[in-house]
Amino acid sequence: MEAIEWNLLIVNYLFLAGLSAGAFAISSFATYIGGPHFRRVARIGALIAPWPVTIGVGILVFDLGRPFAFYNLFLTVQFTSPMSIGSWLLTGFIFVTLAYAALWLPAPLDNLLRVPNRAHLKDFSHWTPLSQNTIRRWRAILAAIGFPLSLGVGIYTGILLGAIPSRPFWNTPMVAQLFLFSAMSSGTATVLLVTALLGTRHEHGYEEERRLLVSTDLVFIVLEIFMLVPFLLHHALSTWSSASSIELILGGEYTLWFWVGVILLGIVLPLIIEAYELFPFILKQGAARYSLALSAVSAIFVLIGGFVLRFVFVYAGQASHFLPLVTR
Amino acid sequence: MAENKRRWGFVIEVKRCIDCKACMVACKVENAVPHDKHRNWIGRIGPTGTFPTLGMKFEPGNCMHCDNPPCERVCPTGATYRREDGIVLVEYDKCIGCRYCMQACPYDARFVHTEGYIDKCTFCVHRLDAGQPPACVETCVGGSRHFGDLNDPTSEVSKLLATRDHYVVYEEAGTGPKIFYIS
Amino acid sequence: MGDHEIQVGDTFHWDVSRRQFLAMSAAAVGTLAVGAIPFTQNSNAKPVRAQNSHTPPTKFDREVYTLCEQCVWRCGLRAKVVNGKVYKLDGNANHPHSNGMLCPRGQAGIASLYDPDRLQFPMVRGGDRGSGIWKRVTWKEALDYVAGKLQAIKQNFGAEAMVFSSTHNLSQVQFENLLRAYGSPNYGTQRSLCFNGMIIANLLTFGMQEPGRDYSGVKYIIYSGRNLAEAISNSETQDLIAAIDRGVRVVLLDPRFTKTASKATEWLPIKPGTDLAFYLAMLHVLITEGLYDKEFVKEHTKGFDDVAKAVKPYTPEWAASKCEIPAATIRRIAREFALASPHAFIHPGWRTSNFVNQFQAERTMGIINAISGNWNQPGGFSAGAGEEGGGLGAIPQPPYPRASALRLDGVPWKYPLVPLEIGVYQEMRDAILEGKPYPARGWFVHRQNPVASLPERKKTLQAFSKLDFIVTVDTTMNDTAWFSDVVLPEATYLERYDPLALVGDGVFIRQPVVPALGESKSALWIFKELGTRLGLQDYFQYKDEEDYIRQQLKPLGISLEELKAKGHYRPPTKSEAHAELKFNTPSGKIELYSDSLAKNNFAPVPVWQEPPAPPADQFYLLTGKVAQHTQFGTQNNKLLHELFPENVVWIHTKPAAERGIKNGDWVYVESAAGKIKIKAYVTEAIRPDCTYTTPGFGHLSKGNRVSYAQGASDSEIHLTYTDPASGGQALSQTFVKVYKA
Ligand SMILES: Nc1nc2c(c(=O)[nH]1)N[C@H]1C(S)=C(S)[C@@H](COP(=O)(O)OP(=O)(O)OC[C@H]3O[C@@H](n4cnc5c(=O)[nH]c(N)nc54)[C@H](O)[C@@H]3O)O[C@H]1N2
Ligand SMILES: Nc1nc2c(c(=O)[nH]1)N[C@H]1C(S)=C(S)[C@@H](COP(=O)(O)OP(=O)(O)OC[C@H]3O[C@@H](n4cnc5c(=O)[nH]c(N)nc54)[C@H](O)[C@@H]3O)O[C@H]1N2
Ligand code: SF4
Ligand code: SF4
Ligand code: SF4
Ligand code: SF4
Ligand code: SF4
Ligand SMILES: [Mo]
Repeated sequence: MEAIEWNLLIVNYLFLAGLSAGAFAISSFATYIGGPHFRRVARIGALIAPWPVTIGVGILVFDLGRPFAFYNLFLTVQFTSPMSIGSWLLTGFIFVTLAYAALWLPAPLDNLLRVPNRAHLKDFSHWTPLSQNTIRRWRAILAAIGFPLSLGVGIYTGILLGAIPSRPFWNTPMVAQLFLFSAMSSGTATVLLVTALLGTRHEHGYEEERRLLVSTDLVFIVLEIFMLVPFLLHHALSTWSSASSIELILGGEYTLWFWVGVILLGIVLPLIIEAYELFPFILKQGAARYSLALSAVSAIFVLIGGFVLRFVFVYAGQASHFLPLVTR
Repeated sequence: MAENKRRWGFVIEVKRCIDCKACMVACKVENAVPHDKHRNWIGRIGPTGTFPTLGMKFEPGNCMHCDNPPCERVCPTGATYRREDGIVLVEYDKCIGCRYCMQACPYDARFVHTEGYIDKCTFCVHRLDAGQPPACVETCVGGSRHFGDLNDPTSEVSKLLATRDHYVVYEEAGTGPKIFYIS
Repeated sequence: MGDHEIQVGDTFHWDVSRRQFLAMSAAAVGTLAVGAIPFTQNSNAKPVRAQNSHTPPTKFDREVYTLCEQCVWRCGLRAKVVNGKVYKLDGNANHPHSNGMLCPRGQAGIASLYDPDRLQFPMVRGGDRGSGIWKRVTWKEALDYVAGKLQAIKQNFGAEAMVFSSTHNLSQVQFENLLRAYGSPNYGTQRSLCFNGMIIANLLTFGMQEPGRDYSGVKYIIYSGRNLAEAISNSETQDLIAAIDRGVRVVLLDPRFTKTASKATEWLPIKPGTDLAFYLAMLHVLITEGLYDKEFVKEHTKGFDDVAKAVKPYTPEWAASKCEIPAATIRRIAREFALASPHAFIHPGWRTSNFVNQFQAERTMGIINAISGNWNQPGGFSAGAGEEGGGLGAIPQPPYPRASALRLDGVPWKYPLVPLEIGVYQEMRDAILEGKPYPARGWFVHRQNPVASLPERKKTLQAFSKLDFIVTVDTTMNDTAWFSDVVLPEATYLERYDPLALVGDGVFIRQPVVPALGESKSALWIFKELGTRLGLQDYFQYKDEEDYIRQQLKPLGISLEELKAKGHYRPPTKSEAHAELKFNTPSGKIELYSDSLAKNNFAPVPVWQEPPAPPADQFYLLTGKVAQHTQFGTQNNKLLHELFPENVVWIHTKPAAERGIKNGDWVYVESAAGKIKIKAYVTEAIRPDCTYTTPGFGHLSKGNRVSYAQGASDSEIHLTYTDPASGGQALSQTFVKVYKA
């Protein structure tokens, strides 16, 4: 494989699927905590979740050598293939996110959610809207089903790469975790960004909502650091192939992308901004300094960082080899 | 000998390869491999050293038909599979062209066919099944490529392995490649 | 041109109108999708699950034994045909040149057969020479036209005003028949660009062109520039590798680290042109240390004492200063060689056209072989498996008219040692340009590409411009055809008969595997048709190709049909194995001292002849083959082009650094004859005073769309230097400057 086989399309796919997973996860988390404070987070997350992953899967199919043969994926389950498991997982996830999103439609639209009236089963023209109770119950059910699925999707994007022994750059368990945390972070950041753009219409619960989003994001960024440091150490201290594979990001083609895109934009800057927002609160020195503008900026940084992370991993991974390359 | 007792494999004598690439042309024509794609290759190491103390080595290769093939493991559709005699094949109609197997193959033995599916060396199964050696082996000018049943102690390949030092490429991966190199 | 199909007689631009041609040819012969290599064949065999409709065929309409013509080694092959098209070529295990294997060029034969650029119809120039404007004509028109021109030249200026040239091929006998019957003495072959030094030295020493070599029992081989791993002669390449595998010691002298060098036990980067010094010193050591076969020398050689006296001064120390190989190494190799003798030989080389002293070097090599007594020994020389005789029937012919005019190439009046049928091709152009001893008017080229293969390409084209008429018979629009007035399409080797080929004691047939594309025809047919039109029908007493072969087969008692089915025939062997040693020299012995040389004022025993060397800031320009191409003729073959698309110039790391040249940089390579622009390959694998590039690139013919202008032509910058003894061109004697473009 002399050329890069998986290109920007795959980068997009991995990024979008992760983003959906993250958005769903934060939404279902908010649903679970419940209460009016987090309604907006839950709704925005729910409404966002289906689309990136659907577009991502569309891109994936488009990228196939034989897109019209994609149905072969669903004629079998290959337990040793992360991609096979992932395809089923993604399909389940997309269905759940769609249903879940429908249940979170905003007020006038939720009227669209109608079911045939049981009393008039024979008369299908007679549909009635779901009751708010039913909606609430089903939101909780789907959030519960979807949460593990979303973690699965988040981690799958990493396992897809990490399960490949022949690309030393990928072949550590850290990649799966890293991609999971990055997925969660970018999903959260998307919700953060949207809430910031929508502004504060309800004063009530503003503090709680910001705290939830900013601190969640901060936690995932910190977790990412905890994955990246061992990732680098693991490689640097490992075999020739491992060590030479991270040359690609330490002093090779992808160095700038990695240090500027992933580390600076994706981690350091958002970390500083979010820490700045939260510090007074954490240190109990006063109220947090939430700012919608700062949120928007940090969220954009996180999203860029998440995208570049996938770019760097997809490309550098393919450029890494177990053997010194013999000229062919 | 029953078919399922067979274990086909290559033995390649590195010293005998002259980098003529007759094997590449033979494979290409025999298997209708598209322009600019190849199922087999000649790896070149060198020239190493400085004038006038120089060395150069050629290492022919193709799919190693691994006993434990990572390409098969990751294939999401089951398009990549192993025959009973250990030959790893792609069922082209099932293949979706996701290229996951290409990422997984440590030997870079696979490529995307112009028709979108993944292709690679088949050990010339059609010739084997018709009782002929693979095209690349038959024409090897240097006599570097040998092919045969590794389970048959009287085969040329078994005899070579029994009498000569040999290695496999990237043994640590545990892929169990069935191309053995005699240096 | 639009959709309009070319009508016979229309003028068209060859370069752009092949499509229409191909459409027509498809209709003409009823083949499928001509022009595309049949890379997407289907078949009905479905042996395994994975393969489905993609399974390559295992059943064929027919399998035909015939002979490869991708190079002059002419291996036996087996062609497999599916749906009327050649699907695959395999080696013929019964042919001693292939032993069941084909080299890359042989394997790629179908891409030459189905090359969309190949010639399929006779054409006459419709614009200026080289403009690419042609008129398609019928065979009748073409042949009448060519015969008319030939007749007119003969009548007005004499037959000697016509130059004929061709490179070794099976129908060459009939080409030579045509030119001799026509009456011209002017005949050029590739030999003087190739191996004149070797064969003429052998003729004078052993009385034969090329002794046979036995690899089966050999223990020690010395090669001078012979690069068998890349300049492939299939069976001999196989023999060499097998020998190396057995542990045979192989010493290789080459200024360049070739692939053969990487296989040899010892590579000596000799200074170009000084092989003679190396061998003189070897001879010196063998004689002064008494390391030779005294018995054999006494029995079978003549002039040993003269040689012994002559090589006295050539000590290894002296040679070391010339060839830059340490004296101790030379001495050691001489002793090792003697120890291994008689199961040892110095390979006489093949393209020995390197320096003007090549003849002396070859003589010295021959003499070392001789005094080592390696004749008719396992691992030694033998009277070669020639091509003559074999008990084939001859086609009846009247005697030829006497051609009394001087030859334009100076044979024998300037080159007395060169036999007439061999010639000194490269010298012909000066005579044409000067019009001396008389003006030439026309040139008939068959299966050759002098525009590309002769040194100083500009000079060849200038010579062309002096001529009224040029006709080329080829399978492709090569550079020579491109500048001709008429091109006649020969059917490729997979589509035609040729006269039978003899190899050792075997008779081999070339026969059509598929019908010829377009209107291409065999050389046998073309020459007969031309001969008949020239009133020379008595020289062509065969009805057609099959009749020709039947006449050849008559004494053998095998039918054409049988031979076609088996591909070869081995007459029952007469057991005259290793008869008494007799050499076809004036003395009947191996001539260490040659009276013929003395008589013609050449040194009768080997002497040192200082070769020219480049000035300080210049390099030797070496040339040599690569395994994926043959000379100047396969670069348009898509399968081969893919593996080797363009040439580069090798330059050693140090001089490259001095000139700021990095790997892959464009550079100019400039000699007194001109300059070429080419990419540099910076490497340790060559002497710092040398550069190297492979020939066959930088084509001028736009008719070959794949190879046109790919890489650069070293013939453009080679200078013409001729060894006065053998008439061989000196291809390593051009010196060049290299600088960044
Ligand atoms: N610079 C440089 N010059 C060299 C050499 C070198 O190494 N470098 N090598 C020298 C040597 S060793 C040699 S032998 C000569 C060779 O010199 P040439 O014989 O002039 O060169 P080829 O390319 O072999 O030309 C053969 C032509 O025959 C055509 N041909 C192939 N098959 C057929 C056929 O079946 N019928 C017909 N009619 N035509 C056919 C091909 O298209 C090609 O154009 O060149 C010499 N010149
Ligand atoms: N693949 C392939 N095989 C071929 C051919 C082909 O075109 N392609 N052509 C066939 C023909 S016609 C021929 S003649 C043979 C030619 O076969 P070889 O005789 O092996 O010739 P080349 O490859 O032309 O050149 C051989 C080497 O001579 C070296 N050399 C140059 N000058 C000197 C010198 O002064 N001293 C020494 N010791 N070495 C020197 C060059 O570096 C080069 O590596 O190959 C035949 N086989
Ligand atoms: S060499 Fe690669 S493609 Fe072939 S079986 Fe092994 S892993 Fe699969
Ligand atoms: S490209 Fe085809 S063979 Fe390879 S993993 Fe995907 S489906 Fe399987
Ligand atoms: S075994 Fe057949 S398919 Fe495989 S490399 Fe050789 S010729 Fe090609
Ligand atoms: S045919 Fe044989 S000698 Fe030639 S390149 Fe292939 S493996 Fe090497
Ligand atoms: S050596 Fe190669 S090109 Fe020449 S005749 Fe044999 S197979 Fe054909
Ligand atoms: Mo030659």
